[in-house]
Amino acid sequence: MQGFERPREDLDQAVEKWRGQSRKGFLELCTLGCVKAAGRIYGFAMMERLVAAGLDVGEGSLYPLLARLVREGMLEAAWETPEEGHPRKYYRLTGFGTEFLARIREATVLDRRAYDAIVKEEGPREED
Amino acid sequence: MKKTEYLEELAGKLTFLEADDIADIMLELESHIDEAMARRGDLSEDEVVARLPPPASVAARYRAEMTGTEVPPADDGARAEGRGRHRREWMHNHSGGWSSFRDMFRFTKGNPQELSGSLDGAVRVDIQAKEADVTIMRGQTLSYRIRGTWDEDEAPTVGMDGSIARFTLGDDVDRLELEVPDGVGELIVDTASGDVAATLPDGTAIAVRSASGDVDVTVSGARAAVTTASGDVSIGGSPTEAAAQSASGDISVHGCRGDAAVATQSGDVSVSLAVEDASVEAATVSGDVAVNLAPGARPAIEARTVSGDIAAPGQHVSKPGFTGCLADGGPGAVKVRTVSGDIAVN
Repeated sequence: MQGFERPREDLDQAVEKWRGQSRKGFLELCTLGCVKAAGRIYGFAMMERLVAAGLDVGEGSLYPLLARLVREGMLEAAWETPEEGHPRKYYRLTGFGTEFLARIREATVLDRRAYDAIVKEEGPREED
Repeated sequence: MKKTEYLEELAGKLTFLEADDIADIMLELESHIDEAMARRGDLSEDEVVARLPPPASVAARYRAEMTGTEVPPADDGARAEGRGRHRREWMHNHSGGWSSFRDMFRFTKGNPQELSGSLDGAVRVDIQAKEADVTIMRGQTLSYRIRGTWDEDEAPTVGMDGSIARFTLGDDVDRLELEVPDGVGELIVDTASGDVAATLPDGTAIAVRSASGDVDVTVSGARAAVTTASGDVSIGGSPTEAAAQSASGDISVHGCRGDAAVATQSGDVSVSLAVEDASVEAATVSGDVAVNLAPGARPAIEARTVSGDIAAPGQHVSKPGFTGCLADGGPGAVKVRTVSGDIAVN
């Protein structure tokens, strides 16, 4: 089959399309990881951390995702009202969510390792 | 648009959910907007709300997540478009650069805070540092100074747990300076992105784990162990034992008076030994490895490389796929494994 060279302007679009496909699960992983790292955390602070880490995530993605993760029993949420200031909804991992996170984290590591093994050019793999 | 208008419009589009769920979402987004307004006093309510994705796209996302109805990620598209618009406006209006909703998160922290004091009787120090840079020096007492811009509910905690001094620093701590007296057996430092620099009293060991921070420790008469993902590692002084691991960081160990074990994937490795009978184990994937022996040392040398060059005392081997013994000797042994890195033993 003959290949053809697409115009360079298509590249951004192609990358966006690919990222759109791969992003959903990754955001879920990062969100659960963020809750795990914090112990308990509310939405605004979570978004702050995810954005600071370099993820392109907005309110429109994060809050609906959190709602689903609560519904699925991965997270539990509780409102807390400080003496001063506005109430905040805090999330924490459930036991189920903790195990789920560990499993999907492991899966991503294996996937990554598979990719690395496939593209490695240095020659024969070391056998130890 | 005001907060209440935004929330009412959103509520009107969430009718596929139970009333309780809708009320909860309203409260949560109201809390989010309040927090954004509290953090960003220079923006009006309208400006804060204008930086949120349109209610229709938020509702579409809730529908997708909560009912399993797959919809195109309309909110992200709409949001990106909206964000682009803000970005462009901002660039026109502010010659000093643009800001956006996400900058609000990064640059609006509270007032500078400082916490200092000292602790007695610690034989071990345990530091959870997150993003803070940690500087450790020798001192007369275990004294600390913590600086950052934290809110009260995320203030760092410091205290004794039996004979362990524990420092737990939140995200908003920028810096910990710690003085460590003689008699502290071990420091354990766990950090995400902060750098760690430590010069320790004689006999104090250190273990550091970091994700992206650089680690530079000077240890004498004790062990140093460092693990990083991307940060560079430097171990100096005269450690009795050195262990370092990194994925992409460079590792250097100097003046080691005992065994050194180092492993990295793409970083370079440099190890210098101060005693004749010390052993080195070094492994890399693509990084180069340089080992400097102590004067007069004649250790056994084993090397293994797939495509790198090898240089060792009295010989130069440059053939891919070399595996074997370059020199008999002892006490002490140098074992180096690499895939594509060069190996030099001097």
